[in-house]
Amino acid sequence: MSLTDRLWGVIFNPVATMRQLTVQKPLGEGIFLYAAVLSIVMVINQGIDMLRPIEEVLSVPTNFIWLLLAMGIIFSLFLLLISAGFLSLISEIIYKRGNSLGLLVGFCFSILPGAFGPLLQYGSVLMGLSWLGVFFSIISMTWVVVLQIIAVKTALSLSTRQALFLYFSPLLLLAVIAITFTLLMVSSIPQLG
Amino acid sequence: MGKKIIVFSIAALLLLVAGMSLGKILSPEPAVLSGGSAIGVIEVNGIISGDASDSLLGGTTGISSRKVMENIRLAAERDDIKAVILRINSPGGTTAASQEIGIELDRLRETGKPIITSMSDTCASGGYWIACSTDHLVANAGTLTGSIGVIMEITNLQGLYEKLGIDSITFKSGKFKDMGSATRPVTEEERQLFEDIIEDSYDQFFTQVLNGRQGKISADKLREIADGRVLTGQQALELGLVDSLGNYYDAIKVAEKMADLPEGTRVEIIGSQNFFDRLMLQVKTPELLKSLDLIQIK
Repeated sequence: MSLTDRLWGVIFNPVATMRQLTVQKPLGEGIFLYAAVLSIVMVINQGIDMLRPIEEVLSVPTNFIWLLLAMGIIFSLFLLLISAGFLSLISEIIYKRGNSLGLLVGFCFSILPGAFGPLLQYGSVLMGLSWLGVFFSIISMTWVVVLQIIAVKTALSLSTRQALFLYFSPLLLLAVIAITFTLLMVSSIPQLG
Repeated sequence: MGKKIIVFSIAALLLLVAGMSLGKILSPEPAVLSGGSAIGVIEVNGIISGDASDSLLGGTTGISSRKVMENIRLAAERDDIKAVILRINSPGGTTAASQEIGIELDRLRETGKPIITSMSDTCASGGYWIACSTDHLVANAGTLTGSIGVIMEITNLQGLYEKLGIDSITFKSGKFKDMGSATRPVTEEERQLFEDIIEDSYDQFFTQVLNGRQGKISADKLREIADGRVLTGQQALELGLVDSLGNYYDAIKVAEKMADLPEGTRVEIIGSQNFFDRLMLQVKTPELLKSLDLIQIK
């Protein structure tokens, strides 16, 4: 399977392509794609900020673009690594199925539609339709999330329901912790009257 | 084959837009999306100096007169900018830096674009100097302004050096080459020379204010109050040192009226400060900047 087939497949035939990717695990290709897409997205987003005819432009100084770009890529790769490892570990605990490397590759390829949002947003801002750009960004982000859930499902051989539960389990965990903490705080406040 | 063409086309499009964005990022001028008219805002925040050395995070120490002049030039060159608001929040700065900004503002006025000063917390001394090169001054009632005068401070550390056992030896080509030295007291001749400098700088400041406020305050009245005193915006209005009271948005209204622009005209901050500049403002202290300058208008 060539890189072109993989890119095409991620967009037009995601389930079958993700299945192949999580088995073949082309890590180098995945990381390269992830870094390339992220660089392009960051540069285009910065360009969008510069385009806006607004009173205040909070842009990053050009001297720091490259430094921030490199830091952004390294940091998000690191986060991706942690996410893949964490989800695979939880899956092993709950469902006795793990494939952290396959999941990492799946996540790397999932970022691909994320590039379309800023691309279309750039065009929208140029045409003076900023609101449309926000709409495109939301769609592309949702697309990335859907692909990541497909990656979880195929890499760990889970059902859709299990994949959804696993994908959102860190959020659920955080919500449970927050609710417990709040309840504890409230219960510790002395009663009035 | 078709698959390859589509994938490569999308990749090429992405790279093209990324390239365009990069070009926009590296271009020093802000983007102008549409034609039409705009009001340009030039910000003067902090102590005005000629210093433009880069600091660690890419900003400059103090407000550099060079940067302000560049923004004024940009406003003059851009056809879409029909009026300029000089938003000042400055306690002053060095004579020469204020002077060169004033000269550039006079040149901008020659193009026929009205310039309106909008005073923030403080627009005193060097800040007021540059405001006098604008067509209309808007101050808040509580703005601190005025402070028309010049100050120079020299510290004599001779006694301290003696206590510390430091012996300073000076070799000089002329008797005044080390005037202002901290290692000895000022001589009578030197005192006279310094007073001449102060007097000359003051005369220049006085003339600038007199020219800028022509017909609004008499020379005699100005001489009375140009003794370094600080005034509120309300007092300045009564004396004729400002034209009206109001905030930033009132200044925009004045600009629209003076340039014959419709209400709600696009407002653009020219050369606005970036994230790191704003960050650096938190660590810049007047004391630090003061130590860099010998003469300050105050």
